[in-house]
Amino acid sequence: MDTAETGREALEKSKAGFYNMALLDIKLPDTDGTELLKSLPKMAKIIVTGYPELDNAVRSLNLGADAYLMKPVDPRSLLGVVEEKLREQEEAEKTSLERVKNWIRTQVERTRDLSMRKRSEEEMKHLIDILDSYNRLLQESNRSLERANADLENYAYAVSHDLKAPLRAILSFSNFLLEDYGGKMDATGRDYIERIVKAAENMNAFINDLLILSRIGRESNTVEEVDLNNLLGEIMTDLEPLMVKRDSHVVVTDLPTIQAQRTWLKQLFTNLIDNGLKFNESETPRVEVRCDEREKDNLFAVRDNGVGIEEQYLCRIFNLFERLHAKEEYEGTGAGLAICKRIVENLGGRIWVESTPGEGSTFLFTIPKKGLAYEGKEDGRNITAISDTLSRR
Amino acid sequence: MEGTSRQYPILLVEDNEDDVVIIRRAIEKRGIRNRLYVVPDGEEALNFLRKEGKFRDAPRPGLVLLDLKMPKTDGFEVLKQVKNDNDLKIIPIVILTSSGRAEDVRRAYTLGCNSYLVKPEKFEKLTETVMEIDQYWLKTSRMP
Repeated sequence: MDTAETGREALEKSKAGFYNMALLDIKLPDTDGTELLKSLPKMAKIIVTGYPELDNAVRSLNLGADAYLMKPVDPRSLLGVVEEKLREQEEAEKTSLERVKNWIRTQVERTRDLSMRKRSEEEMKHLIDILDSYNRLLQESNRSLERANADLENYAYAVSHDLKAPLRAILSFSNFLLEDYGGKMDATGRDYIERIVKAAENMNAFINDLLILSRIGRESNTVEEVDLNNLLGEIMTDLEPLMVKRDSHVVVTDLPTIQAQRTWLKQLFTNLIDNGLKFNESETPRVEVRCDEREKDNLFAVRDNGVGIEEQYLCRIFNLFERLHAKEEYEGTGAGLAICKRIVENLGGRIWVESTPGEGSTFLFTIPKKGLAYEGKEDGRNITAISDTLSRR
Repeated sequence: MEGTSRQYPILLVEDNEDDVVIIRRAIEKRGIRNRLYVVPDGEEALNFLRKEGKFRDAPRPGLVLLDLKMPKTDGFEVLKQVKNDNDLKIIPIVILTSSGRAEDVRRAYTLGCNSYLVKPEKFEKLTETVMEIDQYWLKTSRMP
């Protein structure tokens, strides 16, 4: 606490030292206290005066006075004001301290952000490394998948070999029995043996179909130019015994030449045509095969005038071993359409059916044109692409 | 016809006894009277052909019907050894197996088999196969 007699003294003292607060009288020997309000440096300024004029008070407050006290000053109210001002100052200091702290904090955080970014670049690299190793893992698992596929094929062959040997024996010896001893047996005895033969033949067909299914897409049959008109002619020759027996007709409208595995195309068309003739109660079973060439694919239709398929079964008929008819009604393993589906999908196409029960069915399938066939088969490469994008960042 | 292979015995190398009976029946049904010898694995087949051990007095076959999948020494090994043996390599070997796998067919021909036949599922087919063997190897081909 210091005192000054005049305005000048007050100004000099305020410049020399640091004061929190000034208590000013308005009437000073050299100047007006309200003038001092303007000149004094920043601090709490309280006017203490004997002049109760309102305009003085208003002027003082306008010029930056924090309070205006009337003389005689009540020490308690002065003390109250002083304490309040000091507290306000303290608060303000705290606030500014807080502001500085915040600023520093922000700076620190910004710095940390920068280092974070640096770190995240490192993390990115790490991530790319991880992706790369996933890639390698993927390639490795692709290879082991190929190996597993090869194993599966070997397994399928071993199983078929081992299953077929006893079947061949059952079939052969049943037939030997019929041939050599059929005459010595009554009708029931012969019926039993015929049932054995039939069951063994069914099982044989079953194993063959399973083998075909397991081979599609795995066996590296060479893709070749297949003239479908030629192929269909071949199929019709094969089916001739069946066709002659029931006065059936197969009508083929001009078909294109496509790139595919001949064996599988033959299997596909044979199964569909055979089905059309087999599931057919018409006097003259008829199957039509035609093709619409489109921009990206060929749309094939195999239409029959057979028994048709009820709507609720349409989605199920391509399932493996799904049969809609009793075994006694129509022969077959129930794998035919599953085989067709796998062949078409392996060629990159789609197969579906439209049918009216009692009138017939139309099996439709697409086969993409050359170059489009294996579009969906590069999933493994997408990961590499992602990783490349990351490393370029 | 003098000097045809009609008089030569046939060696059947087959481990499956059922198949032995079935093949023997098919051969008899075709009226083939060549003597049929049967051994159950590759090792005995080689001994038979080399007249070793208990086969010291075995005749030299004019045709070998060889199964591929057999215990111990398999058909491929028999084929390899016979075709690398200057004395034995002229004996025609017909593979008669249940495997129609392209890989097996290629390998057998590479090793020098003379013919490759897949065992048919039905007996009638087998008699046809035997007939083909008979026609080609036992009647048509002249043996040295």
